[in-house]
Amino acid sequence: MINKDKMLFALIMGCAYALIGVVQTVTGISKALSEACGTVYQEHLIADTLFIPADIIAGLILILIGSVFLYGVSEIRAGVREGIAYVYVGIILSLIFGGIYVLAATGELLEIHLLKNAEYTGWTLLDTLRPEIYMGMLSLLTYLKWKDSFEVGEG
Amino acid sequence: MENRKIRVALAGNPNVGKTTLFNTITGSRQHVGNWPGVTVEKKTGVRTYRGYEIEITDLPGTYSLTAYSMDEIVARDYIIEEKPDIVIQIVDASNLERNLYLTTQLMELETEMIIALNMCDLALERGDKLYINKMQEILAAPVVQTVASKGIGINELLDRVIEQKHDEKYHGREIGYGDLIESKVLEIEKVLLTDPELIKKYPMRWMSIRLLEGDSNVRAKIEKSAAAEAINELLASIDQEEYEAEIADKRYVAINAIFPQICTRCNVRLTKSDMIDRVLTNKYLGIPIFLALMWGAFELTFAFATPFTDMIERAFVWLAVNVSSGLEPEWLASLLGDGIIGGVGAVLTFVPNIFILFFLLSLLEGSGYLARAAFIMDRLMYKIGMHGKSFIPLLMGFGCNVPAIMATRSIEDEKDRLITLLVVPFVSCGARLPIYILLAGAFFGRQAGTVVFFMYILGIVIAVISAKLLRTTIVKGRPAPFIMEMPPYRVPTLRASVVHMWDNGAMYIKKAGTVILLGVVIIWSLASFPWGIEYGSEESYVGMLGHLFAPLLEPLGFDWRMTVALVFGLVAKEIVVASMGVLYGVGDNPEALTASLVADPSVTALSALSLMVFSLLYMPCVATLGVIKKETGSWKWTAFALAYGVAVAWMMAFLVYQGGRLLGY
Repeated sequence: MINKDKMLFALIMGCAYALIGVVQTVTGISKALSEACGTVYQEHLIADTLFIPADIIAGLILILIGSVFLYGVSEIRAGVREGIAYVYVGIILSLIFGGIYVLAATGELLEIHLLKNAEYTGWTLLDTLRPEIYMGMLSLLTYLKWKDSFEVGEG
Repeated sequence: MENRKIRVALAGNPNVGKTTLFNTITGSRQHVGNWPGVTVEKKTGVRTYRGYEIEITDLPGTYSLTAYSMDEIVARDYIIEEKPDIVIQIVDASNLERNLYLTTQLMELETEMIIALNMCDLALERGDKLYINKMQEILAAPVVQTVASKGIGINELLDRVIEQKHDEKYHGREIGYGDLIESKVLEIEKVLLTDPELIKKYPMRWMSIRLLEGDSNVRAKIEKSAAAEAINELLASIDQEEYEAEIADKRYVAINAIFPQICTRCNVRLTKSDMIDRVLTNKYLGIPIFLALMWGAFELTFAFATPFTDMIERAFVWLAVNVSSGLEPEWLASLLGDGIIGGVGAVLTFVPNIFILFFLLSLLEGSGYLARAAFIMDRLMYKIGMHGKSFIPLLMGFGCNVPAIMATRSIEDEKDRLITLLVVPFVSCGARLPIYILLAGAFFGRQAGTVVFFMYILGIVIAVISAKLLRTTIVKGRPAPFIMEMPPYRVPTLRASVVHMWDNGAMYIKKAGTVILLGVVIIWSLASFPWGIEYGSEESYVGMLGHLFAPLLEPLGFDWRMTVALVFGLVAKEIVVASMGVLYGVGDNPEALTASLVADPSVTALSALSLMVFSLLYMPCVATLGVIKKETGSWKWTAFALAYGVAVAWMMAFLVYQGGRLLGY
């Protein structure tokens, strides 16, 4: 039963990470191409709504995290009890990358409020928001709920 | 008084928490040096406890006491020749079975031994049940449970040390090797006993067993003995390889008999550490996850450090303006403003980046992940002709190439070691980071972290290609197989990570006050003379020097200033940035070096990228060349490392710059 909950969670997170990652990578590529061709880059509606930046590498990493979750789903579905390990590591990766961007946002806030850096004029908290942060928050909540239940017993 | 002094040696497998235990016991009373005649690090420390002065020596981590690596020879020679009062073997309680192999060998050295059963918390958390009394009885040595990272069991361990010094409660045990081997051992012992010098210095049974196992280091010890001839005759009549295998086999038989009596697993289940391993060492996901984590480290190094580097930059601009304005004579103002503050300041600006990167790397190391990284990369390393163990020196090279080259001593095979040693300088050390940060920050905006990450990847790729090239041409052969133990995952302690970060970062600050300071004064002098010319102009000595070398580097997109910076960077890579700080005269300029570079029409994003590539590869610094000479003992290989590096750097920078131009950048 517990594994069923975790499998469902991993399925949702895996798909979300993979989809957002694809959007992030594709927008990253289209932005790079626009810059190379000297044309104006048009922001995509989905990317804009979900605070997805145009960032190829970060997008590939989101796809990787999604793959870890989905690999876990496939193992659990196949009856491999250790598949739960992929859900656990998927959450940890999600927390690590969420943490990285929270710290990066802290750096930007220091630039705005402490150093009054002109480069950041008009910058708001929403400008620092990106999928790694809000997806990481979801993982944090889940981790706090399930942290003691990630074990694979002898069975 | 002498009776109140106890000499203790710490022995154990790698990654069992030996250094943590050493640090916990000795605190700041430590001395770090080298073992005589070799470059294996020697750490000693003192602890006063219950009126006793306990001197502790941290021996190199080894899996056994054979003679396959310098670490093993150093560890056992210390125990045999220096005869410490007590040897504490630190045993990983969560990996007991494997650690017992070393125990069986230490037992043969006839030394007073105590076993510190470290990381007990992990073993107990996993559900292991440890029978301490039984263990003491079977191994004939006191056993103390410790958790070094939390300071648990340390006082009890020191109590046992004092007790053991005065009361030899336990008497040694030996492994029996069966009738055939035992008769040979006795035969050899009989011959050895004819030499009183050998009796005084070495345990006879141990020496006989090692000779039977074909230990070349032990054979060298008896070379001058009167017993040598008889021993050689005796050994010539047997197949030593067969004996070696049989002796190892008997040790494992003993371990298999001991293990179930001292530890039972009441609940076999996957721990969180096992679960993480299952994913991080996955055939398909392992390498991408490793790359993602490294990229994350560089991204954070860049993003989080920016406000702190800005603060330091502003402080130096303020300092330069206030120190040099109105100061007489004019040359002194220029020396302080343009030279010292501009040059050293340009380097110190990047201290936050360096410290953050080292902190993140120490977190990865402390968590046990870097040991997995070596495991993940082993298959790839073997394919390209490198030994699996080579990955550790390559990783250490991210900090500084000098200790990384020294670390190649743990690679037993001379050819494997030579290849690793020659390619380590391509791994991007901390000294090169300021160059990337300066140029990537100036020309690549928010993608700067990614550009820096790719510089590190490029270094690894070039190292790997070079290794393959060397393996298939000059240093032919196949790499030896390797076994590596993976420590359990741990939450790294903040203290250990900060200490590690400081150890590496402080070296950088120290350099800024010594070699870099000297470098900037020399560059400033060359930029100011002959008298009467405009500071840092093409007519100055530095301008002449730049123009002398410029034709060689012009195809790579470098102007004379960059050329000068690279020439001085031969001493230490940080001087490349310091030179630019001096040559762009940013000391008394409110605009920082970054802005000056962007404003310079001769520096473009493409030439900046080419400069980063050249700086990464062009030549190891003087200290690295020195250690290559020392470790290879050959000027030929040192010259090869130098010439090969410059040639590769020139070709790669040429490809980047001219290729980029062809593509229209």
